[in-house]
Amino acid sequence: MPIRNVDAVRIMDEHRGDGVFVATMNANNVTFGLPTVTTHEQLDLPLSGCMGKASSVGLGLALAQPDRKVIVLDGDGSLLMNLGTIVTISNKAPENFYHFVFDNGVYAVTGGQPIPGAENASFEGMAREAGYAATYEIEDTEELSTRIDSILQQKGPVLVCLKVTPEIENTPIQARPRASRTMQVAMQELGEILGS
Amino acid sequence: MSWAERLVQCLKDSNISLIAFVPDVSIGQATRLMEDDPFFHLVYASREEEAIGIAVGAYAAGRNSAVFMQSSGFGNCINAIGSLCIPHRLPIPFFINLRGDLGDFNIAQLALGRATRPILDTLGIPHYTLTEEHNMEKIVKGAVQLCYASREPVAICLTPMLHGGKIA
Repeated sequence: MPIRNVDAVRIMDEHRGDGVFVATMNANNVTFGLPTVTTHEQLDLPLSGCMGKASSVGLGLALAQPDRKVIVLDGDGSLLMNLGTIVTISNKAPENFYHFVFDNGVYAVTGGQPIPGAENASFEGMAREAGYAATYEIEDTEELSTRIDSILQQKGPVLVCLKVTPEIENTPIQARPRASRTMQVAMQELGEILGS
Repeated sequence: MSWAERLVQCLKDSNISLIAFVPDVSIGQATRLMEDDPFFHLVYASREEEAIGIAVGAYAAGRNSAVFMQSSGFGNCINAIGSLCIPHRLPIPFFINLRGDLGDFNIAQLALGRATRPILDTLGIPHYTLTEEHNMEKIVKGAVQLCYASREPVAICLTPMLHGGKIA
């Protein structure tokens, strides 16, 4: 079955253990993303509007907390905005870093315009050549369910490109539901758990 | 002690241990010292806006962190500051080497060198400029303390008067 956003975040949440999620864009969507399924909200760091910085924030977290898994839920357009990040990450090679790219081929939040290279660029290939420890491309929900455990048991940095079905929002942004947690609240709660 | 040794000691005294930056000769005197010191964890970024994100992530995990850059790199990371540090009140000190000043030889460095402090003013980010060594502890430690007390970024600008030019 093709991967829907909500199924992807639910499957990952079920297998997260005590991992920290750094989630952005569709993965962090308040109607079909991580906030709708999370079982460990205090371990979720939601990012929005920062144009591709989720993987950089996740890297900083992973380096400062080397004994805890950090799982970045990135967007394809977001990763394109900050593509040098994959070399920065592979250079530091954090073993606790897991990078999931929600690849729907479009800028879903702004009405579904195609991202550059949607038809022919491969994030999995880019991460592999950048030097990630392991890379995967998954386009089937059952396959994600079957493989998620072993993927999260591997030493990172790992990148998984998830081919997800576009869910394009056409409601005006100001009329969409707002996130119930601010990033400040999220940072404070995360800090309490991580002992900062 | 050299200016760079004094600056690095200020960072240690302020318990700032994760430093993100794009490797560059103009900040190299300070970053080389940190590379040789196990207190510090240095992270090379591909671009300055990544360095902002990395510092934010480390801070979220309880580790004080700072970003080193030169003024042209500051130009590369304005929206990361504007979309992460400012709205979410993330206290990250920025150490910015100001180019385009006395003795500069590279025309490409002039515009952002001159615009950096006006941009910081427009963003509402407090900034302090180091032109000599003798007041470094007062300025750097004071700025860092203000940064954490206010939960807002601050910038500390380095100049040729402090370090003598591009070799800084």
